[in-house]
Amino acid sequence: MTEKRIPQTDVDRFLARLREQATVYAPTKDDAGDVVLGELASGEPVVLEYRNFRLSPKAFLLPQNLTLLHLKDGKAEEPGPTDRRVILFGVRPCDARAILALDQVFLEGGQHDPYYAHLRATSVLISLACERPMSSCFCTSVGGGPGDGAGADVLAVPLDADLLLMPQTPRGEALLSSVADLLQDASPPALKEAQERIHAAEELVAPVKVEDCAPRLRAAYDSPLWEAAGRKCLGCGTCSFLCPTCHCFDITDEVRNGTGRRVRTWDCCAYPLFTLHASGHNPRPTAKERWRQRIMHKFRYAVENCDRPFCVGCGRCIRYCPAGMDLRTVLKEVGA
Amino acid sequence: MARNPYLPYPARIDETTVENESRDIKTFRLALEDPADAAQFQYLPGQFAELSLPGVGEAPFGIASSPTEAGRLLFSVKRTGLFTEELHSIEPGTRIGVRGPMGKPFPWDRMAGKDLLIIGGGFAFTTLRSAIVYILDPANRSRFGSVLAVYGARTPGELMYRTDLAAWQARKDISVHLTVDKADEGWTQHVGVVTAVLENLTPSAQNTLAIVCGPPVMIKFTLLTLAKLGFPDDAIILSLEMRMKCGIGKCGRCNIGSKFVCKDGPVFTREELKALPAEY
Amino acid sequence: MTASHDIETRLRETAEGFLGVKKVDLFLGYEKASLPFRTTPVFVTAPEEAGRLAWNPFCAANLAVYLPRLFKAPADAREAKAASPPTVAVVVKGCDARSVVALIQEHQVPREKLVLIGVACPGMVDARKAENVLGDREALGAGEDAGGNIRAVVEDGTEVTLRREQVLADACLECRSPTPVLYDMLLGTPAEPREAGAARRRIAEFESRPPEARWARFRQMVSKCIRCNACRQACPMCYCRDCLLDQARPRWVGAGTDFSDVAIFHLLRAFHMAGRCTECGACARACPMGIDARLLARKLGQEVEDLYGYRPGEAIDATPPLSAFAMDDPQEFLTEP
Repeated sequence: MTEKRIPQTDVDRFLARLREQATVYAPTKDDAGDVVLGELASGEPVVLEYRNFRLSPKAFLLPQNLTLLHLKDGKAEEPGPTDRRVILFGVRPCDARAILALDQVFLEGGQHDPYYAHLRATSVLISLACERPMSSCFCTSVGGGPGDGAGADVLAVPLDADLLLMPQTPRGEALLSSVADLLQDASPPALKEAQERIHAAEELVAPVKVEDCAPRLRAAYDSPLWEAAGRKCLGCGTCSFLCPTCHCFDITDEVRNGTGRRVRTWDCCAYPLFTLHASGHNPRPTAKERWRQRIMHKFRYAVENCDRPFCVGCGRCIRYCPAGMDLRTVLKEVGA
Repeated sequence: MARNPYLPYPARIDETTVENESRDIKTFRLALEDPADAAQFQYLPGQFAELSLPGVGEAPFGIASSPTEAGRLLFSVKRTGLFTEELHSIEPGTRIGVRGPMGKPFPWDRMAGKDLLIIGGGFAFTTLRSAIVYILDPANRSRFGSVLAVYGARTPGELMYRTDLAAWQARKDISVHLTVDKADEGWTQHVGVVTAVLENLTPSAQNTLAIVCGPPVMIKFTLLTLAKLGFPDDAIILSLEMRMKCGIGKCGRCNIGSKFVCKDGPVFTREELKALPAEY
Repeated sequence: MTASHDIETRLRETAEGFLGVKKVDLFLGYEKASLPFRTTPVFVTAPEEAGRLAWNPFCAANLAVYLPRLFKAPADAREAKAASPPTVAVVVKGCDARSVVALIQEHQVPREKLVLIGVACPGMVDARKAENVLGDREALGAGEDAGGNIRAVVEDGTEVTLRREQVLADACLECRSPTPVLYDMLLGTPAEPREAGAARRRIAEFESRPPEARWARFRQMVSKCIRCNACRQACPMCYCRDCLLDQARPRWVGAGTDFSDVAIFHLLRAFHMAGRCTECGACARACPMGIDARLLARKLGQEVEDLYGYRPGEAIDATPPLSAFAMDDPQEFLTEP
């Protein structure tokens, strides 16, 4: 695959051309001044200086609410096919890598989820390498990095004046070909500069002890640390909803006078009602069991089942938890 | 293109039968409306399906019929919560959706050539009915050794499938022992817990697989008895219940450790369960 | 600020003492968190761990939220045989103490099992405000200087001073009860309440807009909602085991982000806060999307105050007006809506 480059001053033009092919979502400022992955309007300038978005891009593949079936008079029908083409520009490497975890859940394992598959197939991802990781980032400890291209179709790396565009998949390569007139080939010095910048960013990411997390967690199932740490949890759902790999969902029917829908919505294992049986029995009755489940799912069960932790080190759960919980502390304490 | 796993097969409730004296268990006989769907719905005893009532929701139920009972798709449902309450109130002829079959069935390949000890308690007997009917079918019976079934309920009126039970007790190719905690007038069979009956019968563990389905308390004591009788952990087969939604291992709700009860279960051996955290 | 440091020392000594003589089973306070501008709750159970307790401008959380679950009635006979409820010491600021009073009035926590360590509060920092002031620079550490302002150290090692007023939480800028009304011991110098009209002016300004503008603003505000329920879970007064808004039968509100569902969620929760909300701001602080979850509750709290002369959590022997009635209760909203 051929690496390309474009001057950063031309990025708006590049995105305008992409808007001819698809709906483009790119980093823009919202009315509160936060940088979000928003629909790029005509002429709207893109923002290239930001850390990461509050909401992860999983919302594009696994929306907060999705109509599974239309319900009418006791019958259930699939929603009709939709014509959709989306390009996501500016996704951070951690969030792009998270999509591979979601792929394993929804596309593999026997049953293929057609809703996720459709959104996945109609989305092209251009990720943007990080130059300034935050103190809450730990991508390098979970198999990723600030310049990791996994999960993206194109990895963009900011250089001094240019943006390097590195295709990661045939789809990414095709995308770049479609705007080839705007791009130049990347020179070896440009590639070298990219590597150096990425390496410099990697050095800024503080390591977290994730090695052997699965066996360490297995051994620590009955540790008192779950009670001590878990009892702070409010069950507020923020961590799961912002997490790029969290995928647990609920299915409910919303029907009025016989017409309505069956809808899939985001759910959270930290909610007290998550595993409540109709009989009243709850296998995870307190915050302790639910906190343990969260950590176990991400760093042990996912490793055992999918060969990867379901955590990409984006740090959102640490930054936004109203109770200040930090799963890095758990990873350090477990098996210490 | 593969069928959308969230889309239920349209079906109809053809018949409802009240199973027990307290009238909180009903058996529903369903028919899939499209014969093509019926041909697709190939299941083995031990599996379950999600029944779907648009506007109400879905819930998982073990399949009570055997695949050898062509044209009869049975589910026995205990009235416990929102969905089951609604289901209990609807009339035959009402439309219902079915998603499935789901889960891993009883390990029929392993069970071939073995003597079978089938132990059930209360409402959990549903998939055991499926298993017994399947085993007794002339096409299958010779594949298995002797079959001993022990089934207990609180009172005689709470035993399910009484017509089937009577028919099985009249047969020579299966031995069925029924027991109740509290007898009524006219009850001539065992009185006492299932484990007491087992301890009296002392079935051999030699070349035998035990299948146990019942409430947690019964399972706990039955496992102790089976251990005393010399059954190793991988010869004891259990079926678990969990709160479920998608039924296909994606919504993340029904896991015990790294296993999903919907996809990796609901049938597990005692040995497999011991390797999982006690979070169920 | 030496005052904070003194309070911190006193808290540690008190915890060590109480736990040492088993006057309490649990000492609930704050400790340093892993990110700046924040603390995290700490459940101290051993006297030797008392040194973990902290007191600083980042002790914003309302710890009263953890109390109902410590005193939950046993679910069944097996649980009833479990240990009797613990005696809990809890650090409470002004707003937190009002929450405790309200919880006692609603029979969610027993007064006799609580030891309230009151701290007169100078106002707490809103982490998000502080981070916004710093803009693109990330703080790696933050503390309080002698003048009560916040000193942050950013990535390149420079120190930035943030004026306290600039980064105090909105709830604190409108606070009328900085000193706890109920306590077993009181630390810190009682502080002046904020000017009484501050919050009212904000409500009045909003109400002065035409209805379409208010609706548009409300719509814009809640359109960011992702239905995570953080506002509800962080609120000490939302302790219902089965929340109306989760109820499946009947399903009053859907779980998605359809505007009507989001609007009903926020409106209903606000109504359930009328006469109960102690304005601690835990809801707004918890919201990951930065929604001002306090606005509606503030308005309804003001209505209850104007109609019934009542502010929740101020007097432990008061009867909450929505739990009782008098024949001469104002009710023009019924007769002349």
